[in-house]
Amino acid sequence: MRWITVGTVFCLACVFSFGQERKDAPVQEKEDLLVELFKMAAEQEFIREKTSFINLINGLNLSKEQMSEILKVNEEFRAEVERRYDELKEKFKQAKECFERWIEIIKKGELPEKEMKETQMADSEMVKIGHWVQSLQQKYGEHLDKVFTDAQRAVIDDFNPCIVPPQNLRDPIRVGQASGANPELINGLRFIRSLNGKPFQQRIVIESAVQRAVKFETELAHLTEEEQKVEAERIRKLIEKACDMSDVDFELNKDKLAEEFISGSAYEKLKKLQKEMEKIGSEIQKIGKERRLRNADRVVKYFLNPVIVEPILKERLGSFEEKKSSGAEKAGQNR
Amino acid sequence: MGLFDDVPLNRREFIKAILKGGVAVSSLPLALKLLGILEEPAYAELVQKMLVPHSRPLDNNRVQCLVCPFNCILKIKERSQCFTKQNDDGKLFTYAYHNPCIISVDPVEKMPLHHYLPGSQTLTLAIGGCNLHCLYCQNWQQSQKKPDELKMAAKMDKDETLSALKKKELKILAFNYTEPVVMLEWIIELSKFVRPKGYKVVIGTALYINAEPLKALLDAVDGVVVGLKGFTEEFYKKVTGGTLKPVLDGLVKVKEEKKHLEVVNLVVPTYNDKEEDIKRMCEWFVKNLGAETPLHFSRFEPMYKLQNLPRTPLKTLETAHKMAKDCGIKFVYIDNLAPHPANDTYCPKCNKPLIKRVGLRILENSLKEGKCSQCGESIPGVWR
Ligand SMILES: [Zn+2]
Repeated sequence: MRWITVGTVFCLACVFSFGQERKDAPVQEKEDLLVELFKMAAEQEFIREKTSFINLINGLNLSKEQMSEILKVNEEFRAEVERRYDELKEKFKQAKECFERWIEIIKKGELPEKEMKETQMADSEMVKIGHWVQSLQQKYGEHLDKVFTDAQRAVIDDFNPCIVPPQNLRDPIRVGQASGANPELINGLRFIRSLNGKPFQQRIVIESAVQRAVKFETELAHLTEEEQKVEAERIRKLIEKACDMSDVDFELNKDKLAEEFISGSAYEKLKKLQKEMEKIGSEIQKIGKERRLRNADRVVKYFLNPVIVEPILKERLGSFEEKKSSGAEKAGQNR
Repeated sequence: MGLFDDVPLNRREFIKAILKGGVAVSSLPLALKLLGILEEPAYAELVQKMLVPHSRPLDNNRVQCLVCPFNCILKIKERSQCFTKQNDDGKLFTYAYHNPCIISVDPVEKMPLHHYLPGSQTLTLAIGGCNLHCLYCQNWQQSQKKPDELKMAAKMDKDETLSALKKKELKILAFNYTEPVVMLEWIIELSKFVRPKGYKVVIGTALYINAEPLKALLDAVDGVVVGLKGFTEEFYKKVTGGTLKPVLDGLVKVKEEKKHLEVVNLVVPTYNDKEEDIKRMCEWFVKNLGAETPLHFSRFEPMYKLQNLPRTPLKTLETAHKMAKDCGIKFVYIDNLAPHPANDTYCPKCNKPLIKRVGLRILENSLKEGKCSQCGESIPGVWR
């Protein structure tokens, strides 16, 4: 499973590059513009990850003890990796030199035995480092997994990385609140139903809604013409089904209809598939391990990342202390 | 980061984008109205009315409503302050009858009921109107309107209600979101019809009601969630327009009648979050309702006329939770804030988490026939 190894090695490289001052890095006189853009994109990705992490922890209502524990695990992970810094740095350097030599050789179409063995050795060193990082992730992931309650784990499992938190984290359905999920969609269906006695006008509105929906999905998920036809028919049928229902049946089934409307869309189907793939990936990695560890993957993905986790949690824990010292009367004003 | 994480879109935006088309709620109806396609439906014509038994005639064709402590005295064609009752020709009629503006299928946890058939769904009905006028009402679009002003979701008489319960295979009929007290006559009619057939009836209410109608209401229901909105007369007057004492009397009555009871206190920053008031409330609670009655502290969300306030801080809710536990209340919950350990039900004897929840969803229920699966302690509630 080379791809995992490459990924973890890259991860490790990130830990080093953000965690350490790298004064010895060679500075090119004039940067390749594309490389420069790639770097900016990587920076952007880092910021997105950080934003997403804050959204996630905002939605988890972590206790002070939980934050301290997550921070502690990250610090231990960092320390364990950094203990091998000099050795690993040397290994990366040697591998880099070796691979560069190898590039020159294969460019000429040659495959000399000695250099080939050297390169394979260097490569297997990298694989070993990858495995080592994986074993650390496994070890610390198990620690982290124990920090969360079942309810928090359920939120982590459902979480999608985001810049703006999704509705269910931002404004979840409250007890005693009349409106449920998808109120706009349900109101839309109500409106079309209100045209039940006016078939001509209703048809115009339905077709307009169908076209908009398909156009939107096409932009999003690149539907082929055939797929567009199928999707249009699906949406049309759903709206017609809603129109044919009695008032009571519509009210009883409105949430189900809305859910069908959304979860049947091409976009949602692809998202679902993506989640399933992620699950399968983690299953493969965790075969033979106890069931609970399935969650650890997501926990590692979000919470074992000292570069992001440490500064944010340190700041939060700091503000906990501040609040405590500034007295309880102010608590009512905090948001 | 996955394949679609970069797409700056979520479900809500997906829906919005679709609605921007033909289904747009805001612009299109208006445009069609201008074209004469849509006419304003005459809801009032669809509405049935019913005589209010809890009333008495006065001189000059006036009539007095006796349902709630406001005891409204109404002249001909005058409406009660709860929006539902009217003096028609010297008799008091309710316009909250068979005409719900809300019909929905919800988790029972949304009532909130945590000790009543957890994981079940309810057929929830609500008619417009309320006798209180809380500044933070989260359903003010329905509660602060005349029932005949609102679009009726569907006519719900006893046959329609029973048929809906059967169709969706639901066991519980619920009245929530607006105020059951103002639709008392309808609740009693439906309840008399469905309860003998094995269905349960539950209500979510502020319990601002006079003793006699309360007796009639309690006779018609199995479970009651009461919003005890604060613990000072000042708060009730300022925020709800009502008074505290009738609510407390009502709570005691619910307990006396041995109905399943859960109490919700919405904690509003700077309005009812004073620790001494919460403490007094908890002490009164234990003394009058018992330590086994579940108490929910609910998080306030800026709403209606109190949009200038922040949401209730986590710490405030946790402090209230702790105070209630310290007072001896065995089942204390925090609502509208999840995930949180105080969403779960614990065994009061061995502290094992028995029902784990995240928001309105049940994650795990390890109760065995109403008893703790670890130590066998009996947990109060309706479990099957
Ligand atoms: Zn126990």
